[in-house]
Amino acid sequence: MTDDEMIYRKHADGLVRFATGLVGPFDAPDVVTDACLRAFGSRQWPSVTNQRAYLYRSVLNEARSHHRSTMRRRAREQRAAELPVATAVETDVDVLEAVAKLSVQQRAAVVLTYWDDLPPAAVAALMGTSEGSVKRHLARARSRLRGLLDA
Amino acid sequence: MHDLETRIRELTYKLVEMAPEPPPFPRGEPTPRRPWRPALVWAGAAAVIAAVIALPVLFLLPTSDAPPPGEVAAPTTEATTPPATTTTIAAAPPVTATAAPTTVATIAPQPANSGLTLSRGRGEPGDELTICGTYAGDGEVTLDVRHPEFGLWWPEPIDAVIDVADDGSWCWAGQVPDHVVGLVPGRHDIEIAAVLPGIYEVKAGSYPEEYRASEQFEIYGVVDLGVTLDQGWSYVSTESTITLTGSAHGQQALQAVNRAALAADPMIDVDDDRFTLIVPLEPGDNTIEVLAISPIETQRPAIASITVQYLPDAERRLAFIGEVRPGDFEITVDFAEWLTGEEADAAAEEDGYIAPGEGVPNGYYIRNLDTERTTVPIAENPPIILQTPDSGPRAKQVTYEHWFYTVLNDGVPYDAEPAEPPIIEEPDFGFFGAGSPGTPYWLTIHNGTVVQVEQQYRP
Repeated sequence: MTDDEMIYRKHADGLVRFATGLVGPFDAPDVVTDACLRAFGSRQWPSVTNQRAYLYRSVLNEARSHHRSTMRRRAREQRAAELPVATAVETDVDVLEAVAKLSVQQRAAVVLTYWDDLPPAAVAALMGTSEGSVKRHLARARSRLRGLLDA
Repeated sequence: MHDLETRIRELTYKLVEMAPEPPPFPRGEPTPRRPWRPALVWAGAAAVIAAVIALPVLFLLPTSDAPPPGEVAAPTTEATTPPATTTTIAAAPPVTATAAPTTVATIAPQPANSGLTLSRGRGEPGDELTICGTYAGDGEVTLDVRHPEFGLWWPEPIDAVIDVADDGSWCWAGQVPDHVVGLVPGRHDIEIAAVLPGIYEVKAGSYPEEYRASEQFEIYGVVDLGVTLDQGWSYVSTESTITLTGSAHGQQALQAVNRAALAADPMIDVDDDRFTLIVPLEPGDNTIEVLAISPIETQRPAIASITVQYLPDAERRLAFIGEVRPGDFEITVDFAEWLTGEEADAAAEEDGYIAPGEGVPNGYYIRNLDTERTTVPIAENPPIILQTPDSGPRAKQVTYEHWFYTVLNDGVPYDAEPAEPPIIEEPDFGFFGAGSPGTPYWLTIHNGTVVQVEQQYRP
């Protein structure tokens, strides 16, 4: 087993959960796979010291790219899914819909804060941004979710 | 605030707990990213600017961990020692750092369909389908099918890796699905939609060489997923219960809910596609919903509903239709009696219709000793339910105008100068003698007014 495989096995569960929070369960494996392929293939990888943070940031970047490239496809799928096949019933699914209203960065901040229980400084390290930026993302996410959950 | 924090945490848990198993350790090349044109335009502009200002800025770049692939390097304000390779780095525009070198190679133009072909297909849900092709490369062939307009993917072929024979031929065999799956944005659950008829796009790809080929596959059948009622119309009932029949394709359990009575029947299992439900009614309007639960946990329940007006003091009387004038709220009818069993035999024998001890054919007898016509008021646009020979005698609701212009009047427009001449269709022969003077109808009469007309099927 190579070093990369060992690193991957160590962090795969966390990366897939993180990706699920960003792009959903069905695209998460693809996002993680592509992110890891890019990370392991990059020239900087051998000199990376915090490999976990590097992989999380790579997943985040891949999710952002994925989000942009699939928005149009998703919109078509949503139109098709709203065909009168069955009448919608209000369920907890509506709560999950709320998450989708957040930007990818806001989702990342929410998942790392509420699932991984990380303080803003640790979230910032994984996201590759500043602590203040994480707090802004969280504040905006809370504001948006408050409006959506109370609607 | 505490409540919001709790709800966000619950929401996050629900989201993350849907995480699938991690994929195997990735090998090969990552999926190529599409070139983002605005980024390229900005890259060109940035390159010009970079030629002027990049050199001093690059001196400030950190020497610690470089950003992961896809991440734009942010300048830092901390002064650092200029690296020895400064001149080489400055030659590249800063924005090009968003693409890994391997990505640049894979998005280069590829020969169209190089070495990859596939066959066309046609079928309907449930059909066995075989798609074959050729591929000359060394990679793996994958197959995917989706509706080009709606973007719905077939559930089965997705990510299917197909073995390529030594001679370069390959075949994929499977079944045309009766449903397709789509991930709804933001909801993270699976939507199952019935297959839509139309042209689907079959896409084959090679991995890792990324050759693409596509062909078309036509679906001309359609399967209704969910729950449907045979009686999909407004209905007037004189009985305290209604028997609902229908189909619940692909459903696990169902129950009837009477919104008017705020009553729900117990959930019952769906053993096959067909179901029969007997639902109690409340006097007045009843909205009955049949709610079907899918075996797929994330699928939302399917609902079919029917509106039933229960009129306990209404009566149903058999009659032959005499004269109907569109626009008038009156019809002329000849009332008769519908008799069955021994009562029918006795009446028919008494009327001389059958010989003693003979028995009436088909078990019924319509007694109409008095052919006098009676004019009765009729409600505006009452439910008109006719018998159609589709799949055996089944009821179908039509509009009052359709009943008159295309059924009773053989397609001939009535000459009473209607305010808005209707569109005249061909005479409608799609019913069991509905336009014949000898066709009996059941009239539901409430407070002296006909509120529903139902054709009685006569074998």
